[in-house]
Amino acid sequence: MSASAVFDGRVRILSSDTVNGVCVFRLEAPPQCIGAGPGQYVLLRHDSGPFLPRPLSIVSDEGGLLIAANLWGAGTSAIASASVGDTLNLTGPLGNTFSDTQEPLTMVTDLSHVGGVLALAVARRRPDDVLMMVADSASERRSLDRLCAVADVCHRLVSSNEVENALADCPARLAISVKDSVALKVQRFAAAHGRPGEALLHAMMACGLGACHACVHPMRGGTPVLVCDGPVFDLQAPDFTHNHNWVAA
Amino acid sequence: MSGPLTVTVGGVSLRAPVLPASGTLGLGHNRVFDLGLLPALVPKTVMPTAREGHPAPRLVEAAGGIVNAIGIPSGGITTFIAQDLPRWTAFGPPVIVSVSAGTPDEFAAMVEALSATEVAAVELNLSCPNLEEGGKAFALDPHAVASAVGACSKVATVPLWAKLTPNAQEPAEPARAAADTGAAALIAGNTLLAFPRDAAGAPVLANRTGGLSGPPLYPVALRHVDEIARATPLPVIGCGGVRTLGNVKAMMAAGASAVSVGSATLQRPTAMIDLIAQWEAEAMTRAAAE
Ligand SMILES: Cc1cc2nc3c(=O)[nH]c(=O)nc-3n(C[C@H](O)[C@H](O)[C@H](O)COP(=O)(O)OP(=O)(O)OC[C@H]3O[C@@H](n4cnc5c(N)ncnc54)[C@H](O)[C@@H]3O)c2cc1C
Ligand SMILES: Cc1cc2nc3c(=O)[nH]c(=O)nc-3n(C[C@H](O)[C@H](O)[C@H](O)COP(=O)(O)O)c2cc1C
Ligand code: FES
Repeated sequence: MSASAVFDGRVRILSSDTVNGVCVFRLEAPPQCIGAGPGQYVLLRHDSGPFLPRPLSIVSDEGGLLIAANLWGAGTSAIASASVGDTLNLTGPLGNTFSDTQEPLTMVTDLSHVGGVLALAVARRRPDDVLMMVADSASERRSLDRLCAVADVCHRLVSSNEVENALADCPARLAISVKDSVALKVQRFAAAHGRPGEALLHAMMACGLGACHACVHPMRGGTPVLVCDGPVFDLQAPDFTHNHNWVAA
Repeated sequence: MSGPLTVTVGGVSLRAPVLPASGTLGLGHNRVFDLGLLPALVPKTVMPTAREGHPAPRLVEAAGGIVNAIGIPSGGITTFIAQDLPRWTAFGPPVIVSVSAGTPDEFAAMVEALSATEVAAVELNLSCPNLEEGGKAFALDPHAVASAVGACSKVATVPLWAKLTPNAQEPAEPARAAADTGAAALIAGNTLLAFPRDAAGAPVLANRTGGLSGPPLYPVALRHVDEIARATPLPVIGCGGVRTLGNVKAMMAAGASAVSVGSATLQRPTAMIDLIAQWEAEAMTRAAAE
């Protein structure tokens, strides 16, 4: 399969460390994944896991593929419980990237959607960017602090109630990947203040390739999109009011 | 494409008896492997006119498989023929186009339009509600199967494959109805109706009910293949939960001439490529020993 743009096969786990419900691990990088941009992701599955693979963003490709997975359920837990040297099935790289902009950026993310925006912060490493981590509990704050230490990026912690105020004195351009309730606040703030930006969308996925039509996300224009046709879209395009991209979010 | 292992199923020549199941393979898979390597290509079901499909969530895991309620989003048959079909046929393998509709006349109009194109066969997805008979799925009612397949046979110049449903208690009856009215092959079958709920008992799909596929469907599909193969002389394509070479061989032993693979491709895009390679390797070894 090596001539293909997207790799599908087994890769070894090079390192893996779970702290505070977040597993940070490195995988052997298939050649296709080297140079993957922020926003791009892979589908990963451990043999002991549930039927479908799970989409996880590529945080970095230095020293192997760096992935940060918040452990929600059976899929991410099976990946986290695998030992160094075990193999996972990997399909990727998939998806588009955040735009490459010269302007300073405000990035907003939370624990459940952290990989894509963390990748952007790691790729840019600009002192005039702001990486805003939304956390509402002490354990979330600890996990995010640790993730940012692993990725070696500075960040600002805010609660979901503080997001709009915190945005006021940050760079105008936005890049977000957060749960729908927070995304809606950021989207409304951006519309009210004429701030441009992009959002990385999430949905239940299966193929990641546009075949199954499972990963639909409502849009404000009416016609829904497939998240795997992104996952990065203009910030004003998605409809975040329904919160129906995750079953019990 | 023909070779030493070529089989002909329902009027279509196949390099190996392993086909994609409609709705699980897309043009995007060509980014993972050359779609030209597959024995045939089967796009997602096309509807008469454009429609969006069901809202999210559309898919959930259950019982070791998947339950989906995608709702067949479609650009409609005219757009499909003008824009999508040439992209599929460009890969080389025979293209089998799956269609569905709410009335026999709509089915027939789509088959007539496709007969004027390069398709190798048309697959009639008979799991849609029959709007002229109170919304009961065509495939559950032998008379409805006969009217849909019969209407299509009158206008078809390409082979018609009828895709049946595992929801039928007596699968031989709709199978015979399809065989008697002009089908060239039968697919057994589509997904099994299911109602997944979360731990608190709440529905998890926006559409509430959906179709179960993957490993839990496999023994159900085997039963249907067995009964249908014994009831009609037509070739039967076994579909439901096929993942391994052992599954393929068991489907053949039950009476299938070929298999369709769906959920396994969602689990791993190259699953079919591996299955075909294993099938070919074993067939070569068998041929060499004979
Ligand atoms: C393009 C893309 C990139 C992603 N990148 C990352 C990443 O880098 N790191 C990361 O940790 N996650 C990421 N995710 C989310 C991740 O894929 C899911 O959290 C994961 O699939 C959950 O699988 P699971 O088996 O652990 O939980 P499941 O058993 O599938 O889920 C259990 C329940 O948890 C809830 N849930 C699961 N995930 C989320 C979520 N993200 N937000 C809200 N509720 C959720 C749902 O209600 C679900 O019913 C990404 C998702 C997409 C679509
Ligand atoms: C996400 C998804 C979408 C599907 N879409 C269609 C479709 O459009 N038309 C159709 O005839 N069958 C459709 N099916 C059913 C499959 O073609 C197949 O019959 C069924 O999934 C059983 O096979 P499997 O267990 O190998 O998946 C779909 C199945 C899935 C999982
Ligand atoms: S996950 Fe299959 S179409 Fe997006």
